[in-house]
Amino acid sequence: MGELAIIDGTGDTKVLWDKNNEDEVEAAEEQFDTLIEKGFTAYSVKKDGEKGKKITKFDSDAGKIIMVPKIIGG
Amino acid sequence: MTSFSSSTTDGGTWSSWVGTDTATTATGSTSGTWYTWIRCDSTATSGTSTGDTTWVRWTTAAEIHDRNYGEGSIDRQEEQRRYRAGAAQEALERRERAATQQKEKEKAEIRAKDLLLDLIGEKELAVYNETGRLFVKGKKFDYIIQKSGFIKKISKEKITDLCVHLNNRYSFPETDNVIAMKLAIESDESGLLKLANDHGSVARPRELLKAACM
Repeated sequence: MGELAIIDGTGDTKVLWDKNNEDEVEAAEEQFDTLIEKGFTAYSVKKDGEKGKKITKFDSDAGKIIMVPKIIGG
Repeated sequence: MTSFSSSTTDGGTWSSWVGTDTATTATGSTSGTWYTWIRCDSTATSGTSTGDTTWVRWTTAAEIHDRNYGEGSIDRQEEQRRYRAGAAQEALERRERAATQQKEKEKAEIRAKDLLLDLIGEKELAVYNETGRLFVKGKKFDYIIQKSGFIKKISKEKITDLCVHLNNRYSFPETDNVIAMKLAIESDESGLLKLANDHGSVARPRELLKAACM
């Protein structure tokens, strides 16, 4: 099961997909592309503490993808 | 024009004021405007001692107005009571909204910490909960990300305060900002350093601040 965690005001909103379910994969990919267009950055992460990796294309094999809104200097 | 005193004129303003008699003072008149005004028994010297006259109607009207609309009037009291009740209701609603927002914020922070837990594990999350800080190793520098405050960029000689964060930072839970900074440092440190504003450096102390780390 793949998970898209979108960082927002609620903590995060999750979109799940089963890579064997085309509809779910398609819906997650569509969401991913929409957020990238909005300026979000996507990171593929793993639970073992491995460093996050920036990705620009949806990967249905990724276990977990965190979508981060725009970052600015202060 | 031989007359120099109003009391001696005949048929003028004074005459209609005091009446057509020979009165030389208004209070002594028994007819004319003055008398109608106060309708006294010719001994009255002020409007207050009269009965139902223009003067009384006038002053009575003022009293009624004052009773209805003045400081102590029933209408005014009712208006003030409604205003106070409305203000109290608004304050109550404001407090309830603030309490709801606070609860939502706390829920959001819990969710953000669940996400951080996936990245750093339970042991380090406990340190993060204690300190509010996360230590992250970049390719060029090490960093301490703080839940609130600057990111500390650590080099051999100094510690530099960097200001960089999520756009509209305060609409996100603090820990979401920490996660965003951790991921950015790990995958695009140079890009983050370009965005960050330098807020000054201090010499590196022997011991760094306690922080959760990977």
